[in-house]
Amino acid sequence: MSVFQFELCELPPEAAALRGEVRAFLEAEIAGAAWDPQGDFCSHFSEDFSKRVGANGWIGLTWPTQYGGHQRSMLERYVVTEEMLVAGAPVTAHWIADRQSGPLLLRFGSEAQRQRYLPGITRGETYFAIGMSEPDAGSDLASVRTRADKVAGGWKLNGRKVWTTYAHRCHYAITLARSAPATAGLPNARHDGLTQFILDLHAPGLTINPIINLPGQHEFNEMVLDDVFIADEDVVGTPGGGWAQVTSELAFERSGPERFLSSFRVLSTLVDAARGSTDARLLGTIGRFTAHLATLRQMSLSVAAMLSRGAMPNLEAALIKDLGNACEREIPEAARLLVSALPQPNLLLDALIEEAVLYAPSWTLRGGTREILRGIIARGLGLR
Amino acid sequence: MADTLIFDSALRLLRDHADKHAFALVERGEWPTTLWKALVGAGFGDMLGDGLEAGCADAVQVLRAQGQCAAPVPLLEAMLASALGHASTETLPVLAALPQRADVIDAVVARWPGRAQALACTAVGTCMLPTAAVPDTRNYASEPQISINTVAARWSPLPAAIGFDTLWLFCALARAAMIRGALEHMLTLTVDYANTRVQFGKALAKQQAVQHQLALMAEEVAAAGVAVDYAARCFAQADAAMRWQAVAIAKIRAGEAAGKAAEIAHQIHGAIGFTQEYELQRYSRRVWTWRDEFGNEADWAALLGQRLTASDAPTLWQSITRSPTHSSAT
Ligand SMILES: Cc1cc2nc3c(=O)[nH]c(=O)nc-3n(C[C@H](O)[C@H](O)[C@H](O)COP(=O)(O)OP(=O)(O)OC[C@H]3O[C@@H](n4cnc5c(N)ncnc54)[C@H](O)[C@@H]3O)c2cc1C
Repeated sequence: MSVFQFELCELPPEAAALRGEVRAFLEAEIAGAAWDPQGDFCSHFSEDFSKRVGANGWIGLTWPTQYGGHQRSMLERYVVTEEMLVAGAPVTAHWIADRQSGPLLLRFGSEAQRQRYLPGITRGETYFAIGMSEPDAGSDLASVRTRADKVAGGWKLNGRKVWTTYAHRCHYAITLARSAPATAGLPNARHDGLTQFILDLHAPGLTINPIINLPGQHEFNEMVLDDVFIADEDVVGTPGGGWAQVTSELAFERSGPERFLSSFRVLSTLVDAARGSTDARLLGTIGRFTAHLATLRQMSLSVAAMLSRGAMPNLEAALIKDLGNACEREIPEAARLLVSALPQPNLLLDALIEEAVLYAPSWTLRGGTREILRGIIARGLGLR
Repeated sequence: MADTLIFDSALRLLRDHADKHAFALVERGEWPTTLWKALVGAGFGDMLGDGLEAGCADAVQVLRAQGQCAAPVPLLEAMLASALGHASTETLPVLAALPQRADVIDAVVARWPGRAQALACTAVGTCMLPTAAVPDTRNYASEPQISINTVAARWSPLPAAIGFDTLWLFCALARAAMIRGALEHMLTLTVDYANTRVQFGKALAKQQAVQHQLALMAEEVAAAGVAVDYAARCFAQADAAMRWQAVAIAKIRAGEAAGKAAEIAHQIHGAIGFTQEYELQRYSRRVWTWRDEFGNEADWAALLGQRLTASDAPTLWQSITRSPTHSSAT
């Protein structure tokens, strides 16, 4: 069965050199107590850190230099992101802009938009959120009800967005709204008439209300849009063509190392705590998860290489995310049962397990739920 | 690419010869003469002549093709015996016989006793064993084998270029590659079946519960494939530690995929998959065999865990990110 393709990718020597630089930077940050290693790409926000990363030239790494980018390869970007995740670095501020919003503007945005937004992103100063989900539009994203009505010089938006991660600290949110009624009767009519806007998160008429999450943190938000004006120049791509643009980001969004490394620090700390142990169950669990993660990493690298060649491996990306999410959820579940088998108690491990257990339910939801991913894979297999 | 060429030609030959007739023979404990002749005639028994590292890439492709056809022949064992200087002929197979665990030296498992010559290979060295007439066991796939005591045998040392550790590692990689090939075919078979079998007025494939099971199966097959490809690359190119780790990972991942994928394939096939007549069993019985041979998932996982937690081991992340071709991490 060769509906999916995972050709091995070999990292180029310049990626190795870059890895060394990133490691040294992160070690110095940790040694200087700039931040505590914790959380993941959604939950550890620091403007100062993002600015330092930007100053090092590690945001917008693959983008053209004319917009502040560095024209380096997707594989080099991969190395930067995985090192940051594994270190528990506070990457949240720039993560979405670097992974998703910037590439979206490069692909579909106007020249003016690129010049206006991209340089600030690469400096680690401009942050983007994602305004897609709504109370009645989750997995079924095409059912968004936030309305965009044409007015002179732009659009008026009304509606409600939810789960908007870090809207309260970002500057903009790429926001999906219905700009024309679905064309009744046509196939895929629901996908027509959706438009992506660059929503200024300080615009008049916009209210951002915190939604406290299960671990008790304020990370995601409700956004209420009440006659929020967005100028024509802040429409991304073609009005009405938003659906195709949204779905074109999916392979970038779903195939990266953040889809299987969320609990990596639980496993690596377990390894450190297990040094010298002869407990077969403990060693076997470590070996098994290492096999899973190392394999997922090769799969993910393979997709990164395809993306850098301009391919859109959506099926492979869905496959990695579902498999990766399952693995990252399993790790804390297994680790908690091994705590008593360790040679000595380990407070760091206890804390990491607690954090992972509390956040784990979100991993198989954010960025496309497990069930939606399996549907995509099934379609790729020719079942639907 | 050269390795797809060899894969395609092996697959063609195996599809032609690993037929119903060959399986029926093996089921009765008889040697599949025609299939064997074709394989040896094509040189597939003899692929490691230039050393395990040099032959690895091609051999792994042939073994994957073998898995895709569930071909009931001891090809790996012939390849190894031949690499150790005892090539099979079309009429007389010579098969490497290895112990059940790497550290056992006083007993080996000889395949097809009475039909093939057994070249015992253990950490002590190699020796030709007297032909044992009566198989005492069969594996899950009904292929005859016997456990032979080697205490009294006279050993020759292994050639310097092929240490026992390397041999054992190659066997584990080979079984992982065979599992991978078998799983690929099982996925095709199961997808096709789900698309054609109608219940409640529609194809099974239209049921979301079935779709999601098949998605999971596809994930396992994909993971096994990548793990095997990576291990094959490391086996040919990397230093000893890296190669060991990559093969351990492949055997763990493919072994786990074998169990999960076979379970799903059988569930979706219903009762027809539980028959001797339908081809699914040829594959499932073999992956259940192969995952247990040369170290099962738990054996390799414990060893891998031991290496990763050794007091002088690098951090887990360093171990994972080491590159097979550069000396430092990439
Ligand atoms: C931590 C976190 C951060 C997030 N950040 C953002 C953000 O920044 N911006 C943003 O726009 N959104 C964000 N989201 C929202 C996320 O995209 C949605 O949660 C996701 O799309 C699922 O939608 P839902 O929660 O409404 O669940 P629903 O779609 O209502 O699904 C509920 C359950 O039903 C299942 N289900 C739904 N449809 C089907 C089907 N057809 N077949 C089978 N099962 C089905 C789902 O898989 C799920 O298990 C975030 C979510 C989380 C958890």
